[in-house]
Amino acid sequence: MKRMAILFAVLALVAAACGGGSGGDTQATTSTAAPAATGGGDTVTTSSAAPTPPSDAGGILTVGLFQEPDNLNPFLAVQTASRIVRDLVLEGLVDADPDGNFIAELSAVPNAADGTISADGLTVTYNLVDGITWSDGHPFTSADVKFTWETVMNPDNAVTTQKGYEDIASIDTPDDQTVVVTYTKLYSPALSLFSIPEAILPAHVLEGAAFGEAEFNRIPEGTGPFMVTEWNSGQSIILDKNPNYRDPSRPLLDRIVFKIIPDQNAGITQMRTGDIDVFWNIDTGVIDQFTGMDGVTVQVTPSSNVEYLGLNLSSGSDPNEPHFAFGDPNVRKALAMAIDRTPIIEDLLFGLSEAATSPIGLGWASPEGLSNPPYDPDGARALLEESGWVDSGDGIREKDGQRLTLEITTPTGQQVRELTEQVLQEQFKAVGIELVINNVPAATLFGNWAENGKLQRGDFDIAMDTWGPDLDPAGFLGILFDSASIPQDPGGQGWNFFRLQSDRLDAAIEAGASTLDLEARKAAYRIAVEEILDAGVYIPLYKRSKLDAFSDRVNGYAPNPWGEVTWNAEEWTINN
Amino acid sequence: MPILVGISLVAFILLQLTPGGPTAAYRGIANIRGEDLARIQAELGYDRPIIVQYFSWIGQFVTGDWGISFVARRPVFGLIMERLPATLLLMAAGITVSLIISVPLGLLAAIKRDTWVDHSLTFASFVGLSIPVFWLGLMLIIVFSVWLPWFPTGGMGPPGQEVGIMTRLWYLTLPTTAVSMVSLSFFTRYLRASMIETMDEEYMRFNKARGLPPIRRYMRHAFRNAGIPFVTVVAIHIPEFLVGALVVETIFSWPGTGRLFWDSAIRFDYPVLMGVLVLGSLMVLLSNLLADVLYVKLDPRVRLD
Repeated sequence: MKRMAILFAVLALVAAACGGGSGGDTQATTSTAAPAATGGGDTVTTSSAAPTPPSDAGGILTVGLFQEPDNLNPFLAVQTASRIVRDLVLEGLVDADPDGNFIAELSAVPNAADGTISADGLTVTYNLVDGITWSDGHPFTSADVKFTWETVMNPDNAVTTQKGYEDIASIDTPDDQTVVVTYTKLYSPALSLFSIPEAILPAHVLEGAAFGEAEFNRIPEGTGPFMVTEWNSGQSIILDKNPNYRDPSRPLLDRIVFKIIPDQNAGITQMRTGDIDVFWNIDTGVIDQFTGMDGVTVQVTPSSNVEYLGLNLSSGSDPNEPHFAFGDPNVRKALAMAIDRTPIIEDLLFGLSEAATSPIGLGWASPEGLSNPPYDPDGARALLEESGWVDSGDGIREKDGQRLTLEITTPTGQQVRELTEQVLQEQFKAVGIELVINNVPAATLFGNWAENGKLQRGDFDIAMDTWGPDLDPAGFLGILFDSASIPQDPGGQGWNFFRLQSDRLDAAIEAGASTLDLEARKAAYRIAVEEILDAGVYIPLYKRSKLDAFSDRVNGYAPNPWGEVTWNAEEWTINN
Repeated sequence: MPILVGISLVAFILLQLTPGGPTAAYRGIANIRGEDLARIQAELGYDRPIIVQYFSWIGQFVTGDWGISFVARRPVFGLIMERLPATLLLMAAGITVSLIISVPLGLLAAIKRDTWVDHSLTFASFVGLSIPVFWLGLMLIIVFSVWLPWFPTGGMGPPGQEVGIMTRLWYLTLPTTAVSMVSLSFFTRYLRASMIETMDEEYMRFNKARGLPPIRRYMRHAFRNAGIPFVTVVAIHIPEFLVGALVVETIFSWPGTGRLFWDSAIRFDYPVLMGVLVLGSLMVLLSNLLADVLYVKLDPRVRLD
């Protein structure tokens, strides 16, 4: 009965989400989906703002974060919570709309049609938007863009990544409003640079400051709708309306308080007592606590993240030593056929997700028309028999005296995953495979080679993990599936922990990243995805949705798979 | 001092030997490649052998440079110091409340030995000793914040506002209750036992025989003697409040070093963990020292020549 009610509520939600901003509130970012005729590069959309401030503007909104941001510097922070806060303060040159198209932010979107992306893709010209100032009133200019690049490339700064930035040969600033970026070689996700998930840094604030310890990292100066006014460690981060924001009618709220709370349980109580108005990232295991709450709506936003099983092809970390069971493609295939996703999705995820069929589950590069091998325990048994795995007498198969016992691992403390493992345990047992659960803390599982991380060291049979591509899947495919990303000592610290080696796959990943022609890239990534699925080392389980709780007093949220929960918070209002 | 060095060396090595590490946090971001991690580790000095790292760490530690947090990228000393007052406040509140309640109860139980008063106090303190702190904390929130909205669910005060003393006390009530429950029960039990032991002494019977009024016998003669080991036990017990704070801070969103430690442990933020560990060890050593000093001061029978 209750299950039905939840399902119904969720269906209604999903329908509302898919219908776009159909509510009664003003939806200012109505993007006109008219892709410019680009000879290459990414589809471009222009956004037209409809600034009609509702009468109930103003007010204070409190967001519960169960993770305290590490810092708010886009080139030093790694936590999602950091991006949730800083995206309201710092801006990139361009941004992404819910359909995955680039939209103008500090600059118009470069494209091949008007020549702002050169024919060879090596020169990208940004025409900056006029009249933008930092929140202290200092004008934003092309010098800030150049400064950002120089900061990233400065070896003293220990930034998280230099990927793409290192391929830039020079940045010219012919005038205050124009930035010309020249690349030494084609970098296909070039438009994400300086923008997603990074941002432009203020030269006048950071010039000469010690980057790692700058005040900016906690109280950043930005061009966005809000500015950080206070950060009390362990308690709250307070953002106030930026008086110098370019659109005087935005933001609609006066203040957003990010309240640091310990965990999901605190989120449940504080949402119930009204101490917080928004709770970010509900764990699916406790979703029924939120759906049952009066005056609270759970927003379901699709994401590109896919929950999957990763199979280790090697015995340990040496990619040339085949795994005792997974060295045989039949066993991999049998495993995929032995999985019934229905109980996982319907019972454990309350029907909130759908089955995944590909590592690229969302976006322009997501191949269409893929399907998983059908659930077929008899077929799985036949495949195992064929490969010589026969019943040892107790229902578990063996071959040459070796039992078919496999170890599954995932980070500890995640209820849905732990239950999923138990479901899989039953399903595998039905075809004669014994599954042993051995979960470890995230830091142990994902540690790097030197830290003896379990995945890096190949110390597992099956890993249950989640990951998904960014707007541009080039980096994701490369780091997870390219044979150059197989973890090994020394140096190799990529995430191809499947230890999958395929020349065809490597070539497709390379091809996808070496052109700006979108159709050619799509074709290359389809080959890559098919190659990954054929290898049988990546078994997609389900798509992960983002679940956020909103008090019904809050209006204006629009789901965006490519942004964090606060991506359009300048449009939010609160009824008091 | 040698003890501190020993503790820090063992802790440093144990932390580093635990499988896993801070770079796990960087996983899941496709743009962060192996070479980026190697570059960051080299810049922060994490690519050196453990022993080299230890000596470089302790060399800087004694000069007040406690290293840079791998996660927050801020100096560890500042990170810990901005959290320490909150923990000290909670500990102080916990100790005060424990003493204010346990001393009268302990005396009462001893004086009314083997009556229903004593038995119910014994029962209550065993319950108090047995309740897990995390469970008690959650129950307090459910009952006094959710069902009866009398107290806030957590934090030190409403975000972004000046906090007056009454508001602070209001926010302190539930966490203090949770953090003091075990010690309160333990102190009551200990004082009762100590009192009873003293009251069984011969001089106490003599005092009774010579007709001293009960209040004078109990307070002046029994409590004074029983109080000496009690004070020592309280001093030694102080670090327990630090441990309690670790749990309570996490449940009640209390922004202290306990929560900092917990968050850092999850992320393997070695420099912060080391800082808090050394600070905690220092507190244990100081509490023991305090206990010794108090014992000597209070007990005229002990004299150090």
